[in-house]
Amino acid sequence: MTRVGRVRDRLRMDPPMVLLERSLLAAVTDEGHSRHAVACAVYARLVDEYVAQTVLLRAVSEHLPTLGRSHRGSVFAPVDPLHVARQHRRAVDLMLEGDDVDDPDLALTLVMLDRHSIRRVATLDERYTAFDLDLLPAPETAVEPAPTEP
Amino acid sequence: MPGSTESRRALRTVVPVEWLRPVRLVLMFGYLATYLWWLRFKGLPVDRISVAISVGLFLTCAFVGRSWRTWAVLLVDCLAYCLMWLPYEKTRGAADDGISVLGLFRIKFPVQVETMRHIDRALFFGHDPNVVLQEHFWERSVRWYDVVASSVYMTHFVLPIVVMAILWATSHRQWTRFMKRFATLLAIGCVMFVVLPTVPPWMGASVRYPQYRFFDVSILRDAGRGFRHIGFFGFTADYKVQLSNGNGVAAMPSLHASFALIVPAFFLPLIRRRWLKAVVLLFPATMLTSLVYLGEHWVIDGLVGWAITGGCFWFWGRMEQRTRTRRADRARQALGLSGEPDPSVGSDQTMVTA
Repeated sequence: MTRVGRVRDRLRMDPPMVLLERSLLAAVTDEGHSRHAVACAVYARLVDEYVAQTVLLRAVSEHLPTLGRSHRGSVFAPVDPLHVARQHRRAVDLMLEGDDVDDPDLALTLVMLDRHSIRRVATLDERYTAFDLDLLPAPETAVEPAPTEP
Repeated sequence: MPGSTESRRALRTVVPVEWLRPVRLVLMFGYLATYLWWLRFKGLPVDRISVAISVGLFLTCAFVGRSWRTWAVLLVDCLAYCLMWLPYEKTRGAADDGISVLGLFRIKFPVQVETMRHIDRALFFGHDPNVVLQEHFWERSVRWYDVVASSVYMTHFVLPIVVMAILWATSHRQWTRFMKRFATLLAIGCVMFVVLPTVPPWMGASVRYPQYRFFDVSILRDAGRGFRHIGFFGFTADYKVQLSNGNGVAAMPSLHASFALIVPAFFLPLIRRRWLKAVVLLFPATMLTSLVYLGEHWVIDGLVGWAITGGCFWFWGRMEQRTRTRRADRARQALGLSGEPDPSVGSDQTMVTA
């Protein structure tokens, strides 16, 4: 992290935000997903951190409704949405015109991460390893945890 | 997985630059420079309308390039902010005349003329703190401590507003937290202005208010003289205009003391060093001492103001923790986990946030 970034982090009043990316949200809600257990373990840990006030949980607003309203009120109750505005879509369009990113959803998530200065991302999507982000679960240690008690 | 540490790309190399961000920063610095110029040459804006215009201009600068949704949220916040001040203006003016209920009848509570003085005397072993301080320190010429007392006194009109504006621009979540505490404090203050109209020390010694006069010694009142002494003339003129519209019989609780505590108390969890915390807490202590020295308040007014502030923090702290726990429990239940959090999490907790 740059010196400016470190100073900015020290001055920040809010706990750091963690973005729950679409792939993780989907894996948490889909019991048939091959990495459902990993996603639930990561999310459960984040919920504990949320109660301990060491993180704020965020998700792109467009990723939450696709999972249905019931999830927003229950599983993802601690998660607040990051609302997508027209200026974010314009940035996405610009990104898609270039050669770096060709998936609109990935582009949108990257824009939201940049605009909200979020560095930690909970995701199961390997494409995020190409960017300078703190990923959860960490790519090197993303192994299946012991099954949790139902 | 692809992407070694060396080859990972920074987001700013991929995501287009938000070009209005530097514009926003320039505008905010421009605003700051203008504000300081205004402060030096025109005076500190203190009346409600000037402050509202000033804050409005700052927020306009700070929100340039933000989404329409953010502007809509800001508009709602501004309306709520204005609504919050209305009862304050009403009850402050109605403190000694009573308050009209739907125009049918008036509720009027007895004015506390000497009660607070008795409490102060009990606290200080039979001495009047206002009288003692003025007898020992008030001189014809302005001394350095007059400048300190006066300046600290005047911060009441800007400090909470500046904090609100900065929080508004930087973290809406923190602004909400601050405003919950501030609005609760103000609401309790408003109720007490009506229920417990209290004569301040200067009024108890003033020949202009013979109905309330009980002091046989004089208590001088010129809270702005130290401020004028260092060259802030414009401020004092505005200040007098504002005072003439207010009602003096609204000493209990001291919002000066409360506002002086609410700002440091809000930021205290962010300060790690103990000595720095102590230094920060000197500010409300200096404010209360100044209020007593300047004859504006009784000591008990300030202590009650502090107690209300502490109560607001306690209440909202608990409410926010409850909300957090409830939301987390809902998530855990949906995941099929027990409601107990992992004890290893949060050992490095430094924030008090919701």
